[in-house]
Amino acid sequence: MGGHILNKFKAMFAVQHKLYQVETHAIPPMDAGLLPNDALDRFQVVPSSLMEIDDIVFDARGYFYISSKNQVFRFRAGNEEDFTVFAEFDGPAGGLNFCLDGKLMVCVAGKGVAFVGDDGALVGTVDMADALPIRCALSAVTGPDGAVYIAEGTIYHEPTDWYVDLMEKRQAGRLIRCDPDTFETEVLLSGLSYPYGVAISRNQKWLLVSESWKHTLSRFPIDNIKENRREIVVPNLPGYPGRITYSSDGGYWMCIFAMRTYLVDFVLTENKYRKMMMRSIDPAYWIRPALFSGEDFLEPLQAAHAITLGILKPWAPPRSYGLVLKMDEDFEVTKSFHCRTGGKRHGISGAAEKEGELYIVSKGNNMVLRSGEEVLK
Amino acid sequence: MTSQAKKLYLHLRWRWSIKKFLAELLEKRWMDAIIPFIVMVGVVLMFGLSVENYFSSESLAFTSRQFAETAFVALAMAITLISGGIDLSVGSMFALVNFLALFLTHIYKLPIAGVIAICLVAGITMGMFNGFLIGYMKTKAFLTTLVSMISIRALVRMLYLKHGTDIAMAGKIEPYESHVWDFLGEGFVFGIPSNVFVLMVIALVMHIFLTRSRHGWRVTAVGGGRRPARHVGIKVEKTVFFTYAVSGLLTAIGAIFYAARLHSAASETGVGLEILTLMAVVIGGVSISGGKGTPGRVLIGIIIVMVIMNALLRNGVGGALNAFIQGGILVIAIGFDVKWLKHLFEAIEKIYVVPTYMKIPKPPDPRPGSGSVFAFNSRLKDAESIGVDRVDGPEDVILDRNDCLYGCDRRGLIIRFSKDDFSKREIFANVGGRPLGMAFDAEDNLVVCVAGMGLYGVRPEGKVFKMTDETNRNWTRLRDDSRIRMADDCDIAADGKIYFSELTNRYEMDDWPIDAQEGRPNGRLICYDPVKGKTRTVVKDLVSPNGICISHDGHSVLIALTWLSKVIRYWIQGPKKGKVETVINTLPIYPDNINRASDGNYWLASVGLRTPAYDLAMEMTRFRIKMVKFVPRDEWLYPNVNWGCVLKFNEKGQVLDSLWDPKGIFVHVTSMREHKGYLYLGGLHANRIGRIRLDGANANWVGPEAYWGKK
Repeated sequence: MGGHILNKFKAMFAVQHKLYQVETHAIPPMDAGLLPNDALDRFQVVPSSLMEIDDIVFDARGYFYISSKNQVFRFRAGNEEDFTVFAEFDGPAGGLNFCLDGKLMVCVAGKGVAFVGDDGALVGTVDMADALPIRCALSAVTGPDGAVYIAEGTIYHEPTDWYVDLMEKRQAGRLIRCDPDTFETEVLLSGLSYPYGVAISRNQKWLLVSESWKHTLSRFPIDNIKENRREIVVPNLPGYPGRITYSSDGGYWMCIFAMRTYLVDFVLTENKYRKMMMRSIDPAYWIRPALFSGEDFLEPLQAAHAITLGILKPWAPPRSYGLVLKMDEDFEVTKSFHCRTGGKRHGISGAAEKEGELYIVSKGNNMVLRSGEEVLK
Repeated sequence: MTSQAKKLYLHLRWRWSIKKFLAELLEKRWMDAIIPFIVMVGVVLMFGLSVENYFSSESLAFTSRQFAETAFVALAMAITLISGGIDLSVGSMFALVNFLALFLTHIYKLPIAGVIAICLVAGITMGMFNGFLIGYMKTKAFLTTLVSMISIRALVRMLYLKHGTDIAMAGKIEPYESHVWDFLGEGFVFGIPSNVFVLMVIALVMHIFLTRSRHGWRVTAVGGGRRPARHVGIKVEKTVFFTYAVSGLLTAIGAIFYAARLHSAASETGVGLEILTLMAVVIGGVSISGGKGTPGRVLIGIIIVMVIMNALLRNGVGGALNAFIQGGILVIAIGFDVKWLKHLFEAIEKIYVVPTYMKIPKPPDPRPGSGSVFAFNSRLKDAESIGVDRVDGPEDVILDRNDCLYGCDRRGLIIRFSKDDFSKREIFANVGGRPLGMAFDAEDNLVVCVAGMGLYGVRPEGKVFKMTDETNRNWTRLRDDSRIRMADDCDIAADGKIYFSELTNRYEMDDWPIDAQEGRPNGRLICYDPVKGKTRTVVKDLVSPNGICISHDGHSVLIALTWLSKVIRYWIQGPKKGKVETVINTLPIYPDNINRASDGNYWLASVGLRTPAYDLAMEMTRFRIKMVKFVPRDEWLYPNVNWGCVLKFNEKGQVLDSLWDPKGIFVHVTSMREHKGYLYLGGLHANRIGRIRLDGANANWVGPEAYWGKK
């Protein structure tokens, strides 16, 4: 509860508390547990030809499920070559998770959340909440009582247009609860800043929500979310947080799908330029974070990106980046795996740890990576 | 009409900026003295009008004599302050020399020349004593001169007790007879009191010494920072020693005039003079932290102080209250000095970079499959690498008649690779600075543009010589731009005249990206005539002129304007002589060097690619102003400099061909030379030189021969 006590302590000193709030605007340095390294570059590649991979989970029987394009694939750990199509949808499949009764929940872009039985057959779909279609379901999690919590990033865009939502400075995400048997929905919270990941805290008391555009991880008491007694547990991340999953030692893994840069933060404050840019320029060439970069020469370039003596500096401001954080149960970042500027394992969108081995998904570079035991130690 | 007005407005905004004017004004050295000067005028007017008869000639003569004596001491104080020290013993030295002068004239009746000589030597000796302790023994200036002040004052008091009455009596009974002596005390030169005249001469000499001579700069440099001064090879000890000796000398001169005028050997002579002069000097704008100040400012300061003091005395404010006011003024002056110095540079830094509106036409699409001549391809992918990691940043490459390859190097070197296989590397010349564009002249001298230095030549045996580093000043600019700041590329016309570009004269080499952000016409085309030895600006106010190439017919100079993505032509011969016209209106890249191709066309290197986001930023001035201010420099939006490209265009400005490097090894090609069927590539940030075979090119074509014929 270190973070909690610290927050209370800060609240006691009002002036300090104010300062602390002001500071949340600045991009924090990558220190301590966030110290950059090249661990992600040392992960092993799980050979596959899958494209647009989004998330990875495993079930109690040892099967892994991977969402890619409109399909969910299944394979067994240690036998990765043997991919089989598990289920198919009429929209790109995204976040994956399980219900208490073992149904697989699949977030489908533009469609909502699909519930799939053990045989791969569609059991039901949740596609509306409060008379608004769920177009941008990003992840779902089952609470201790069996209810399902769904993070909908925004009501305006589908997941592929996430950067449009950022550059439009939207705060239009929703948190939805649904019953996995009757598929009835209830909107718990709205106006969130792109809630990407949801998870239940290890003590089963809180619902954790990562809000990308606010660079924060918050928690809500699970028995009374609607009251919005939000408590920010990780206030100011240097990147845009995504999905959260459990680690084997009682903590959490959090994917950071892109990093903040001073230039993007600056453009977000420069409304005239931002709007002109969005109106007149191809989105691929906007000043914005990306899941991958370095492929196209019309992308904007920043000063430190200039290749000097044949070297692209890894500390250069990242347009795209690969990062997975490990947090302990008090949400202190204890460890992180990086793939820095110029690397080719960027845009990490999903992670799953099984028996001491971490599997992650690089959406930006279409890769499934496996930590191997040594890296994880 | 409105569009016309808008065009004019945009043009004016492009050319002029109040902020830029202010920044360049504040940067002027004389700006430090502007506030003291205004104060001086104000004080003189105020007291001159309020105090009766202040400007009557008699009163003025008396005041000015008094003024001159104090001013000598103030100059003495100033030179020690400028060298980073302080001389508190000036008042005591003044008293001692005064006493000495009266003693020698009235008691010993020595000839006047001898008196003056002995007095001056006495002053210098005391100064040298201080200087020896402070310079060579490394004692603190403040404490040392404080001790000198006390001990010399004690000496004066003892001498006064012993000889004071004798001097007074002797002066009355048998006055010292000397015209020179009387002249010093009461004479006039051209209607100016003698001591004021001498003061003016000495102040002028000192001004020239401090601002125009090598030794004077050393004094200022030592005051600015001892350690850096030592690092550049200045003998700090000697310089410090010297300033205290000068301080003693100047004090002695003041004291001689004082003695000649008043004949008073009072023991309290010169008490408080150190505070008075320190105050004057600091008010005048000589910085107490050293390294800044001129005699002119000292005189301004002394006038301010003397006028105030006189006015106070005339209004009956004397003694303790007077001293209190003096102290108050000193505190204010020092506070102002500190604040001014501290904030001046910050202020300049804040307003110096002034981005402006710049809209350049939409470029042809360079994307693969676009069908334009610029369409991205991979023709440079098989380029060979020469001298990997053996050359650092060959901005320009060139080959001589004997097939040797030359590349400029960031470390101030010209690297030469042996002919044929380029395996042997040698340092051909060490020119210093940052060598950039190169060209061979008719005598096979290598002409090199050196950023930070100017235009230099290297003889075939490797001897470096200066060609020029100055051009005529542009009088419509506040900043003195006669020094060539960033010579970038050069080429030589058939008559031997060397045309070279200066990318910017507002920034140094390392800051060229800031010039890009600014988008102002800060560059020019300069011509150096080696026969007459004259340098002349031929086209001024160009936006980032970079590559230079004399056309095949020798009638014009092609100039690449980097940030405008444009190539222009300046006619040096023929009916259009002196005119400028556009050759290529817009490109999807930022053009760098231009060089001749064997087939009568031209090669054009690309330093970077235009990106839509950057182009938009160039149209949005305020966005860039804020970005420069708020975003760390490493994160500024840049032109994309990570993809290499070489273009070929013809005399009419039609682009014929493009060669791209998909691997990004030859990142942003800044130069290329054709030689015997190969194209050699150089890059500002590259660690190698590239070479690619040109299909169908003339295998015997050699650059210097194309210019100067076979030998």
